[in-house]
Amino acid sequence: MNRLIIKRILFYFGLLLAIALSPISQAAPIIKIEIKDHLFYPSEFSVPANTKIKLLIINNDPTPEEFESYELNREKVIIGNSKAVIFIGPLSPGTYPFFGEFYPKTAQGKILVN
Amino acid sequence: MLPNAVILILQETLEAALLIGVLLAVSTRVHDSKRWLPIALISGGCVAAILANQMGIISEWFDYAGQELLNALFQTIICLTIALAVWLTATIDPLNPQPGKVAAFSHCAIIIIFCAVVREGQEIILYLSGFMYTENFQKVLTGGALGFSIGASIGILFFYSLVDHAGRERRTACLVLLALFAGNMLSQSTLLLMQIDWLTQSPPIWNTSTLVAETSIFGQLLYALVGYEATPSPIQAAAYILGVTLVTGANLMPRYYPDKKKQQVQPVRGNDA
Repeated sequence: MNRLIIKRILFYFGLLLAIALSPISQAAPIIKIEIKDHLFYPSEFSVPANTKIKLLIINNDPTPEEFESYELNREKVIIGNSKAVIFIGPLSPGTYPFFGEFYPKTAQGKILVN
Repeated sequence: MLPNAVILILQETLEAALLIGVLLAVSTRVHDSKRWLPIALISGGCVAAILANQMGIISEWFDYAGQELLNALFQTIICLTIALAVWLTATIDPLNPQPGKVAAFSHCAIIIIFCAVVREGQEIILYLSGFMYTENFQKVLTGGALGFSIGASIGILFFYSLVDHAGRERRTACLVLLALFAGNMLSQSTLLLMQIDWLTQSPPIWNTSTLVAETSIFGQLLYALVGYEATPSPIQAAAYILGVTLVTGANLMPRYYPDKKKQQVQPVRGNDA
């Protein structure tokens, strides 16, 4: 009886996981951001609301940087002279600041969603 | 440069320090040797250094999703092992601790702290490595040591404030904290899966950023302690609830399914505080 309940719970949990992980990859627009001398280029850009965006971040500095945004709930270390991919959105209209956690004084930027 | 190093290392250290504090308080109750702590810290530190060194390659795995998948794996392991550790402590009689179960608890503690140290350690190492050959390295190192000391001190303070309470109160406090830690870990792992588009991002269920900003000191402390997020998505909230339920369920299980095979017990070594 108890095993049956556990099996059922596992089945529904697996089903939920399968739904959550099911193919969702519509081609997201790509925005390229470059890091150079601990600055983001572009440091400010606009994206459409309610759209998933793929951020391609290229770190041209020899040192690592961490892309971070409290508003976007995103955090990722990007090794020196390498690139990284971060998906954001769909977002509601507004301003979403981001910064480089390792060099926060200079590495600042914002995404305008409209 | 110095204040940033203090804040960054403090942020990274705090979560692991609080987790160590709670696990030490639990281990005092089950009378284990606490040898797990140096083992977990040293092995975690070594693996963190290896992973930090190889992060460039790891990041490229699975179409640039390697870093997130690895961290999500560590977080899920932490959550599940916390549930197992809680189940073990619920079955251990503090007056007659069974050596087998106490040893199993120590193994769980090693896994939990090892994963926590690897996760946070690699970021600290990567941050420090960026300044290694610059004139600021000494300043950053000083700031880092200061941040680490503050984090460790908070962990020690946390441990003593927990063990200061009597058995039942302490047990409840530790259980609640471990359940929240587990929920936090599972919630954070879903966030990482959203970051690589393995899970669908949906609008936040609430926004408390005006009430408690994540950037504030209180917000940071809440984040380290209970995984506070100002704008959580429904999947994150569901994962949080699942983590808390797992640990609470693990604690209640021995009450409804008592161990039929009574183990041989060791002579009494001490009383529960």
